Amino acid sequence: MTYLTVVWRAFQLQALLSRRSPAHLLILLIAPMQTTSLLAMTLQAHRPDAVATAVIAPGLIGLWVSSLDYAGRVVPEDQWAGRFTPMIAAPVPLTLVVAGRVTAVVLVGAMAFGESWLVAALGFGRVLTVHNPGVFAAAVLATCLASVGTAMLMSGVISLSRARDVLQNSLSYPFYILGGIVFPLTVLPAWMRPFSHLVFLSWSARLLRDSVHGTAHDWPLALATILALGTAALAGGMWLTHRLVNLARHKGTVGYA
Amino acid sequence: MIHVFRIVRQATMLGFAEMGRVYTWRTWTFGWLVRLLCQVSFYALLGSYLGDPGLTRYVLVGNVVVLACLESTIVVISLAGERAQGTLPLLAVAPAGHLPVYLGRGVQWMTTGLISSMVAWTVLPPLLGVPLPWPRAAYAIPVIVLILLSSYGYGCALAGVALRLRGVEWLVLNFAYGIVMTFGGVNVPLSFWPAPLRAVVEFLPLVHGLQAVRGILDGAPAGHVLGLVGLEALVGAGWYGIAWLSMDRLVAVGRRTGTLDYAG
Repeated sequence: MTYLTVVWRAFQLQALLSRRSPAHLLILLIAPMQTTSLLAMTLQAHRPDAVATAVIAPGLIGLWVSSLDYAGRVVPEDQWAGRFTPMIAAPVPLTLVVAGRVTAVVLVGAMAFGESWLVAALGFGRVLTVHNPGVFAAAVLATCLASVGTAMLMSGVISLSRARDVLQNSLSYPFYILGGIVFPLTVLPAWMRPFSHLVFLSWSARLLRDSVHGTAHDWPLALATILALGTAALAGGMWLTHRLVNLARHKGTVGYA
Repeated sequence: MIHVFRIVRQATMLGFAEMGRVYTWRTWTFGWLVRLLCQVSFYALLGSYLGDPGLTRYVLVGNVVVLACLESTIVVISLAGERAQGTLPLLAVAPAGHLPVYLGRGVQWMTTGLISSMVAWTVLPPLLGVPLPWPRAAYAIPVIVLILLSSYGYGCALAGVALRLRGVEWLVLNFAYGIVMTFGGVNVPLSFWPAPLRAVVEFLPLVHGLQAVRGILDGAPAGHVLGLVGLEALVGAGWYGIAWLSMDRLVAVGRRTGTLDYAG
């Protein structure tokens, strides 16, 4: 079995599990409400220039929530459901299984982009026109890839942490602020901005907004940075997953829920 | 009356014991509370980017007060958890009767909701450069407590849905809280929405209470504020009535069909 087949099978497994779990579709319920809230604020303030922000932000939130909430639960849910032991015993690296599964989860989150566009068009009559469609598509793709990397990292961190629920409940809005997903980073205090540059959301949000407005002049740098941050997170996530397996084997806790 | 207080006390102790499985006071403060403060700041910063300090204060006040609603409606998860664990029948046979026990299952969320909204009420406005007019801002605190209570009734009523359908508690919670946050006058005035939608929104918790809070801050006449407070109390009472009927029917049907201990 090639590595790619393993990832694909894991993707299919996650799709089957998610179909039976309505909570995995939560983001598709949240995104239209968030789009409505953000668009209403934008229109009420007579700021048509910020409409793109209101439409793009729920998509980014969708990706982040998927990475944090569902991808973070992949390994713990396997432990509770008793799937973890056979997965460890299987002759394929668990890292690839987790990668395939978080990819499925992240793709569900990415659907929030389409939903928010539809809400803006059908609910508010604001059809978002993208001036640099090529850059926009590349930015969405790079953002999804970075989300998969981040989801891997989250999965590792949350699985190893003793405060799983705390992490999952807490790491949303602080990162939306750091990522500047609804406002430019200049709104934040100067001391906070260097931290923002370490969060892929900040690069993605700016690139997506600029590509909509046709002002994405430095897109190669932004794309490269998003992919680099995603790759770094992926490497960290793979290392943590490997460590998780070794620890469980070493301590004899593979079968623990 | 003493009987009711005893149930509330026991429910609160149970609730905090349950919370203690997830949070320590440190992780609650530096994890959950910071997250809530960031949520309020997120919308307030957007307000400051979009408009003037007036808009920032409008959004800030709305988002601080909505924390009370958010935390109170988490009762949906607590009640659905009883069903998932198969402990619903044990609560139903409590000598005090099932209704007060069920309705007391998320009292801890009202307590934490009060703490988090009060911290946000006092800390965030000066930090974000839009200080509230004290001591008038203190007069709004009892109204925020009323919003906590009415939102809790709303959460209990919607928990009836989560108790009947399997695995939908997070969807119910987020929908319940999301429509209040979106349409309840938190970020934009109610007048922004079309008239038919406004008519429906009148029946949501927080809506009239938040208008009362804004009225207090703007120095509105006491009669106007009290009228809004009365409406908030009425809406809250209505949701408690629905919750009461919903849970009573759930137990009655469950006893008759022997399905009360099904895990959803």
